[in-house]
Amino acid sequence: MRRQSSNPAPSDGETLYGKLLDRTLLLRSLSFVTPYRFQMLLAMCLLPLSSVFELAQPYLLKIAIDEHIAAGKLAGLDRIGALYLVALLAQYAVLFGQVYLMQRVGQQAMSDLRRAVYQHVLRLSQAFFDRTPIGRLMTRLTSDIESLTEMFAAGIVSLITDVLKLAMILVAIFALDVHLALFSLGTAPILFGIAWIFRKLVREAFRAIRTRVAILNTFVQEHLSGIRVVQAFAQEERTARQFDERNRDLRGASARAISSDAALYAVVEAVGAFAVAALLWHGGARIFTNTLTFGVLVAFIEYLTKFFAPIRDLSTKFTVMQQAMASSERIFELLDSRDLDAPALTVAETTAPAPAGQVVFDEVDFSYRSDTPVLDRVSFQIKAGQTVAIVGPTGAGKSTIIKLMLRLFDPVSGRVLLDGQDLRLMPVETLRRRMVLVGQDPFLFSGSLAEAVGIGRQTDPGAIRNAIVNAGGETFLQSRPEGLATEVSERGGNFSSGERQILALARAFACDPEILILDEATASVDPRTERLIEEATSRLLQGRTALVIAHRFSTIARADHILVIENGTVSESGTRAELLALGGTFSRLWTLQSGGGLLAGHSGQQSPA
Amino acid sequence: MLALGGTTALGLAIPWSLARAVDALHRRAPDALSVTGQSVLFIVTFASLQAAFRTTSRILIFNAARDVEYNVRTTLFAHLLKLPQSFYQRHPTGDLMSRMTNDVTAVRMLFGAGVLNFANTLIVYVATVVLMVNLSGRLTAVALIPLPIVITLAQLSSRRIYHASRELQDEMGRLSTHLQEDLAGITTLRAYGLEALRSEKFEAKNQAYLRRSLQLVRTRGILGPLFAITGGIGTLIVLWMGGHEVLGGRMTVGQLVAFNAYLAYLAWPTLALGWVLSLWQRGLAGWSRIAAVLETPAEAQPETASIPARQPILEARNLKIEREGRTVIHDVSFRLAPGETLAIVGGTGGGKSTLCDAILRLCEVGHGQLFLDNVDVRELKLSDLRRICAYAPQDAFLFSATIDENIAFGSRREDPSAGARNARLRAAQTAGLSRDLKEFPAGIDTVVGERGITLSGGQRQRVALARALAADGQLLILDDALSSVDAETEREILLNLIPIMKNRSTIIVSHRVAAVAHADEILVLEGGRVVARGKHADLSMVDGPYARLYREQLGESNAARAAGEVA
Repeated sequence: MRRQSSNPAPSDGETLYGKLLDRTLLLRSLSFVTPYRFQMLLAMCLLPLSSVFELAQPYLLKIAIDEHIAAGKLAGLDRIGALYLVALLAQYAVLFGQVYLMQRVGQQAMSDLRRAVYQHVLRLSQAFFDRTPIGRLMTRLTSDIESLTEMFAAGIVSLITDVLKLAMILVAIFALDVHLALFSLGTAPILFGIAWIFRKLVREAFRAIRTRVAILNTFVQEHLSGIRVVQAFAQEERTARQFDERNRDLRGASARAISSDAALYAVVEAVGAFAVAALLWHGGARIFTNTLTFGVLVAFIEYLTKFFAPIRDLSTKFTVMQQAMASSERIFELLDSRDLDAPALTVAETTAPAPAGQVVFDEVDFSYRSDTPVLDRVSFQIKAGQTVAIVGPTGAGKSTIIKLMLRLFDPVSGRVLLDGQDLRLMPVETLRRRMVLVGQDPFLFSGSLAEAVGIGRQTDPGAIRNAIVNAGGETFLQSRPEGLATEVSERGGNFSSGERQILALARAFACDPEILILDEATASVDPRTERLIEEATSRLLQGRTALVIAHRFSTIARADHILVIENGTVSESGTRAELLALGGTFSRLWTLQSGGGLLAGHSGQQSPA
Repeated sequence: MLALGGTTALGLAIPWSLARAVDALHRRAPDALSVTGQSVLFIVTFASLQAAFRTTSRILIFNAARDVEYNVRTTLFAHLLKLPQSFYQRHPTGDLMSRMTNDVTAVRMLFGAGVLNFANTLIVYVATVVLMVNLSGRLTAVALIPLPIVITLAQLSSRRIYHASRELQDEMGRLSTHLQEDLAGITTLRAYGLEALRSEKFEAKNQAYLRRSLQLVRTRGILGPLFAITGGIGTLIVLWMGGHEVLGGRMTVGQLVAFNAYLAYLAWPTLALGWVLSLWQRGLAGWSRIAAVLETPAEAQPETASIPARQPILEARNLKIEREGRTVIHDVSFRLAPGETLAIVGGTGGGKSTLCDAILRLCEVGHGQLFLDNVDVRELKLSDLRRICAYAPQDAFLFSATIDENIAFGSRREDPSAGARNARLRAAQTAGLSRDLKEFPAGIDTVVGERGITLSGGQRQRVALARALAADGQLLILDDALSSVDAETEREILLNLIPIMKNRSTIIVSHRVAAVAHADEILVLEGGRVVARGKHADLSMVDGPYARLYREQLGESNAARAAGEVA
């Protein structure tokens, strides 16, 4: 399978990201720092302090050399030594405090950002999840945020440090000798020019890297999830080869970033040396004309070296920042996605009628893609306490009806009403708390059995045990020595599919919802389990409003009303007796399964009866 | 390394030139101006050369690190593909993802920035010390007094940094596991309104990660300053001692300035040493997590393997399978010849799927229990064994690719020919997909979502069946593969399968008597044991579990018919 090449959709999604302005990106990243502005402020206050201590050191050296060693006066050298030591210790003590505070701000801000992105992702629409691979979202939430964290840790936060440091050195050198200072700064425009050229190169390279990382992660995520299939079909080699293509792509993309990065660093370093050379040339001449003291020249050289250290650091941070900008583009793109799940139009809590549990589908049209209608003017009603069964062939739109009821999607036109109120007018949490979905292929969360069944809505072990017993899981609960503490692995992989269905029913019992939405699993279990599930289902339906995609005779038999859905429309609707009398699709399906089908066909031949 | 050495040598030559000029200027030597001029020329030349060397060395080293990253990632993924299913039961996808990403990155940093800066530091130290000794041996000895302290500090903190890093990486694994699970189960999460609960759990892990990060920041943050202070004390000693030397006439002021410049040259690498150390330890911590996966033995493969026949006889002799410490299959024996069908029925958790897994060796099979043409399956290469199987699982996992690509997944070779495509279309047809394909926007080239999410359960199972049929395997394993397909479609598919099953050996797991009634032998599995076996005609006559199953399904349809008549 040439996934990326034959199907451009996933990789396109990766490259379509807009190129937002740097300033906008930076300001938005910084907005996550705002809650920690006091810590930040404190750190900034420590900064001049640490710089004062740091810059005092060359000054003390100058005094030591000019006034003591060169002048031959040893007296007082001890005092200067002591001062130097104090300055040194103070510098690093303050520096530690400052670095720690800044790192803390950065880490907290990124932890907040991760939370914000996570919560935003949870609110995105079902359609978004249908088209976005998990691997890509994982990349945003882990490595993209990590690369932003790096910017905060090494970049933005100490960027301020460096800029302030530069400012202070500027003040110091201008105070020493204005003329020489101006001369030394001649290289600054060159540096700006270099930065400008490299910015574009580096950014493009990092964009390419981030894109390929996401593609690679998506591939890994998917193939680790489907490892059973890969192994069962002995496709390890091909899978490894496809992985290698993507890995190689990433490797190629990183080569460009490396070259730009390496050149930038070296050039900045060289420019620094050139500046010192120029200073020496110029300063040397001035010493001879006696317009400059020797000590000032030495101090100047010291300062200039210190001046270029932060600039060199800035150049490495520059790379980190470009990398982070490439990541933040993608993170903010995701945060800006307005493709939200079930947005409430106007929540009219006050007009909400007393909850009874009556559901009405009123002329509902729906389509996932504009060109292919899935539901066409579907109307029906579930009275409070009633069970409505939906039958019909695969792909007729049965599960879409369920999704609309849970507001995983909204109708294109028409309305879905609960107790006379449009679903879009009520808060979605309130709506979903009144319902429970028992799906075809139940997804179990990992954790203990109690957690997987109680799912946060029920924590009382007794109630959870009852729920499992009610769902017919007594025997297998007893067969697990650890009982409710039994570990449930990812997706419930350590339970058979029959057991997973029972657990899904138990989960519904534990939640005790007012409205039940049941997408019956088809006959994938043995008769004993089947009977257990059947009984559990009947207990679960008791006294609840229920919408059931039914496959079991018993469920259909119990339903108060039956809808036949074909090609997205309600083709038949009525009680079982009415529909059988009609002699349409339902009656044909019913006889097929109960009498004239393959099953009965055999039994007809073999049965002694 | 050579380029790195060049960079450093030139880097040291610069202060040397500087010192010469400063010294000349200080002495106000008559030739001071020309010496200064020379030095300026030297500095400019050296700096240019240094830039060239530096660029080269960085490009070489960082590329080497990316190569290491590339290799580690390839090796790790290739190894993951070979690990047994029991490994995947213990390791959630999210955690493995974090090993494939975060930990691999940490290893890359070790080899890139880590090696670069370590080598840099080492070269700078050695070279600088040589130059310093040239200037003044005594002063050098004094200046190096703090060095042992630095080394001791480094050793002490290494372990702490390693542990803090390891804990941080583990925490990232847990965070990643949580994310992966929520994203995979988003519909359930939403339908049950679990946003708040899952966010709370996420937040706990997010906070734990933050705590671990800060712990590492503290451990690491204290190291740099400690090194720098120790280095600074060296400067102080030099200043003090040097002052005396100059006054004693054993040294010129210029030499002292140069000496100090060298010492200053050491300050940055010393400070960087703290950072390098944490990179190393983080890299090692990442590596230990990767190594834990790499050290998990892949499934044993025989040295010399026999190639199974294309249509072998499959035989189980007292097969016994253990999973998670429980025996789930006891003493199961059967023989399946080409063209025959073996059916397996029985209760949930009875071991039916495990039996299928055993044939594919997706679970551990003991010696002398399972044979293909009298050859122990353990003596076959896994890929050879699995290639003669065509497997349709109940849980029909599909990849986010086109339906055609999914069906082609099992084929041994990628075959772009029209003939191969037609064969896949035929497989889709046999699997009862024709009608669905007509309704899909791009037919067989329609892309299905992750895990085939855009298809219904029944459609997914039928695509998975088509995938099995398109595979070359002669041993068809249908593990309850039509459970989500509606009755009418199932009947159609079973009829389509009859001619295919005549040419292959088939193992079919089902709960429907209709699907198993044709079988040459039916095994009834309860609690992992064969409680009854025989043909449909025999089993349905004798009172037992199969007859009960049969009567129940018969009874159900009778009851339904009766209900229908009443209505």
